[in-house]
Amino acid sequence: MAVRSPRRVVITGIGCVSPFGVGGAEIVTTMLRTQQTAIAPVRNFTTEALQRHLGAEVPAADLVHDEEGRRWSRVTQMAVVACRQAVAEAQLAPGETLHPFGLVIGTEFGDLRSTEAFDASFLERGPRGLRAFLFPNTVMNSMAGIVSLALSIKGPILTLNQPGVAGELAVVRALTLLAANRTQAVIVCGVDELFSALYEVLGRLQVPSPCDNGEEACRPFDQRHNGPVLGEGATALVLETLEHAQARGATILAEVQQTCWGAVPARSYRYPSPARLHYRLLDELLASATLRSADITAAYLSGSGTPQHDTAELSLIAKAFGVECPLLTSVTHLAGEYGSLGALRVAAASITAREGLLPTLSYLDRPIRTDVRFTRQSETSSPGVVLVHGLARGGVQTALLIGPPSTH
Amino acid sequence: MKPHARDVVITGLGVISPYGRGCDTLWAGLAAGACVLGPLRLFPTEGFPSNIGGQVPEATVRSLGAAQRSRANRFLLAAGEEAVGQAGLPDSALTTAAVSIGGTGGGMLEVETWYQHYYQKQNDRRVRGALRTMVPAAQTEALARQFHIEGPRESPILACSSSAAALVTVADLITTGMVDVGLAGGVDSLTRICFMGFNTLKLVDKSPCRPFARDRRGMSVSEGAAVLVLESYEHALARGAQIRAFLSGGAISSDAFHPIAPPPDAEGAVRAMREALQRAHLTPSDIGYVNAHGTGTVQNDKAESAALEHVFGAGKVVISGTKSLIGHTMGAAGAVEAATTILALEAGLLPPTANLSEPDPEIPFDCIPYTARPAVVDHAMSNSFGFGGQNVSVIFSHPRTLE
Repeated sequence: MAVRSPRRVVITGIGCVSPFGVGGAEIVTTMLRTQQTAIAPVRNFTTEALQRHLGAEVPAADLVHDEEGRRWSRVTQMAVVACRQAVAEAQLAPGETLHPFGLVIGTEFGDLRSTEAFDASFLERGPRGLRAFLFPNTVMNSMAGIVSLALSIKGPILTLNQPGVAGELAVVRALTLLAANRTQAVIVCGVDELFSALYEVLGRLQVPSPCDNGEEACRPFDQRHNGPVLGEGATALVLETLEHAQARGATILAEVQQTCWGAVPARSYRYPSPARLHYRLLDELLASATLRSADITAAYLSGSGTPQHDTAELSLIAKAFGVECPLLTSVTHLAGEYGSLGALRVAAASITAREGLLPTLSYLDRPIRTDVRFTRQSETSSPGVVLVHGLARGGVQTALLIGPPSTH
Repeated sequence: MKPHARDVVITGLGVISPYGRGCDTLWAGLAAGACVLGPLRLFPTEGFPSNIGGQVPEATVRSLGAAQRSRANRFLLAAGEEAVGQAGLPDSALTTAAVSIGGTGGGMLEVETWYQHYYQKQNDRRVRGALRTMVPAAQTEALARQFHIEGPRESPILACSSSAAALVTVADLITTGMVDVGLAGGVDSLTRICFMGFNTLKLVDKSPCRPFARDRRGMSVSEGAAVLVLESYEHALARGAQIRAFLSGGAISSDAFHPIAPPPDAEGAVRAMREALQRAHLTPSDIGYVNAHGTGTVQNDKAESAALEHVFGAGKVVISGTKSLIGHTMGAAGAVEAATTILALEAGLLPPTANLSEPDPEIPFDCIPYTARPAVVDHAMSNSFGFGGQNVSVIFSHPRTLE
C-alpha cells in the first residue's frame, strides 16, 4: 500500500543516541564519514559464560542527569534524549509549541529489561518483593508516555511493536497521521536496548552470529554471513508538512517523497522464502512516486546478516530494479542489528540524499549475489533520491524514498 | 445525511470474552447484566490483596483448538474467524486488507512459565515457541497469516487504549483511500505480571469492580479479544454487505501529565472526545450513550466524569461501565467495548453498570445501574484511556442515520 499524503513531508531534525555518540545529524554524518564500526566486545554486562561476546552498545553512563530523569529506565532515557536532540536540531522548544505534535515510537522489545526485573523480583521474594515502580514500564508504551511528558507532546501518540522494521514503520505511520490531518508535525523515534537476559536468550536461540558455530562477525550480504551482531540505540526524527516547516522557517534536511507498507507471505517469526516472494510493493512505490528505477541513486537495506534475511531482501530488490539497481548499502555492520535500527537508516539516507555520503561494506569479499552493486569501496553518490528498504521476520515490508531538500 | 464513498463502516464483529465465545454470548451476558467476575484460577493468587478477575471459561478455551499456540493467539484467531465469517469477505478483499491489533502482553503468559524455569536455571525446551509469541506483534502476525493478508500490518501499544487506537488507525487508512478493508481489534490474555502489577499499585478491588460507585476500590483484571471488520462504505455497498454501524469519528490524544495518572480535569480526554465529535460532524447532544472507560479506580472514574461533564454537561448523556460485568480486558478493552457499543445500537438496549448499589454523588451521570435499558440511540461513543496518558474516543452510528 502506498501512503498517499496530500501534503509534502520533510525532515527537519535528527536526534541520535548511539554507540557513536549522542547528538544530532552530525553523529550520523560522522558515522558515514569515519566508517568506524561500533561492534566490539560487550562491556555493559559480562558475556564470560556465553558463546557470543560481540555487540554494539551505547556507553553505560547515565543519559539523563536531572533528578527526574534518573528514575527513568535506560531505554526510556535513550528515547527521551534522542527526541530532545531531534527537537533541538529542528529549532523547536519543548512546551506549548509541541502540544499539537504527534509522536510515534517504534520498538521490538520495549522496556523488556524492566519486565524481567519485575518478574524476577517476584520469583526472588514473592508478592512482598515486587517493585511497584517497575510495573508501568512493562507496557511497551511507557517510553512514549515519558517522552510526551518530557517534551509536552499532547497530540496523537502511538507505540508500534514490530520486529526488524520498527524504525521504518514508525516513519511510515507518522506519514499516515499527517495524511489523515491528525497533526502537522510528528516526532518519530526508533529505540531498542541490549541487555544481558535478551542477549543470552537470543544466543540460546542461535539468532545472532555465529548461527553456524563459525566465526562471530557481522557480514550482511556476504557468503560468510552467519547471523547478526546485536546492537542498541535510539534515533529520532522530526517530520513536518512542508507548509508547517516553511511557516516557521525551519531548515529542511530532507524530504520523505514516498512510502509503501505491506507484507509478503512468511511463516511465523521467519523470513519469507524467496520462492514465495512477490514484488508488488516496490513496483507500487516507484509507480506512485512517478520515478524510474534509474532515478534512485542508492538504497539502504535491512539485511541483518541472517542468511535467509539477506537472500530474501536481495531477491526483492534485484527483481524490482533489474539492471537499473541502485548502489546498495547498509548501516548494520556499523551499528549492529536491533528491531528499530530502521530509524537510523532513514536518518543516514537523509544525509546521503543531500551529501552523497555512503557507508562502505568493506567486509564484503564475496557477495551472495553478483547481479547487484554494493558500496564495497569508499564511494559517494550524487545527491538524489535514496531508498530505505525494510523486510522483517514474519514478512512485514516497508519502503521509503528520501530525497534532498533542494527540490522545494 | 448521505454517506460518502470513503466513510467507514463495520461489517463484522468477533469476540472472545469472559462470558465465552462469540458476539451473541457477549451480548446475552451484557443485556442480562450478569457480572461474570470471580476468583481467578489461571495462576496462583495467594499473597495478593485481590484474587478477583474475569477469566475466559476453560470450556471455551478448550473449544478454540490449536493448544500449541499461546492463549492470546487462540483468542485472537477465534475472534478474527467470527468477524471475517460474519462480514462474508471474499479472499480477494482480504489479501490487500490492513491489520491493526492492539495489545499489551502478547504471549507473556507462556513466557512467564518459561522465565520461571530460566530463572531457576532449569532447561526448558519450550523456549523457542514461547519467545516467538512473546511480543504483541506475534499475535497480529498470526491473524494476518490465518487469512493470507498482505496489506499494511501493525501492532499499536497504547496500554488500555491499544485496540481503540487500532480502530482509529484502520479507519484513517480507509478514509484516506489507502485501503478498502481492514481488520482492527485487540487481544490480551491474563498474565501474572499484569495481575501482580495492578495489585502492587493497589489499583484492584477485592470485590468485583464497581465503576462510578461511591465505595469503588479499583479495577478487576480480565482477558479477551475482539476483531472488527472495517470497510469503506463504497466497498461494502458494492458487495452487498450488511452494514452493522458506521465508525463516524475517532481521535487519539495524550495527557503529557503523569506516567500512570490522569490530570484531575482530564483535559486530554476532553480533547479526544471533542475531536472525535468534530470528525463525526456531530454535536454532544447527538450522542445518546457513552460506553465509559470506567475502570472502577477512584481517580480514573473521577477524571472521566470530569471530562464527560466538560464535553456533554452534567447529566446530559447516559453512560455505563461494562467493565463491571466482564472486567478490564486490558489491550482488548477498546475493541471489546466498541463491539459492545455497536451491539447496543443494534439492539436498542443500553448495557448496565453492575455492582452500583450506591452511585458516587460526585459523578453527575445516569450510569444505568444493574439493569439494561431500552433506548433508541443513533450515535454512541466509546472511551478508552491508558497508562502513559493515552486517550482514545470512537463514535459509532446506527446505519439508519446515514442511509
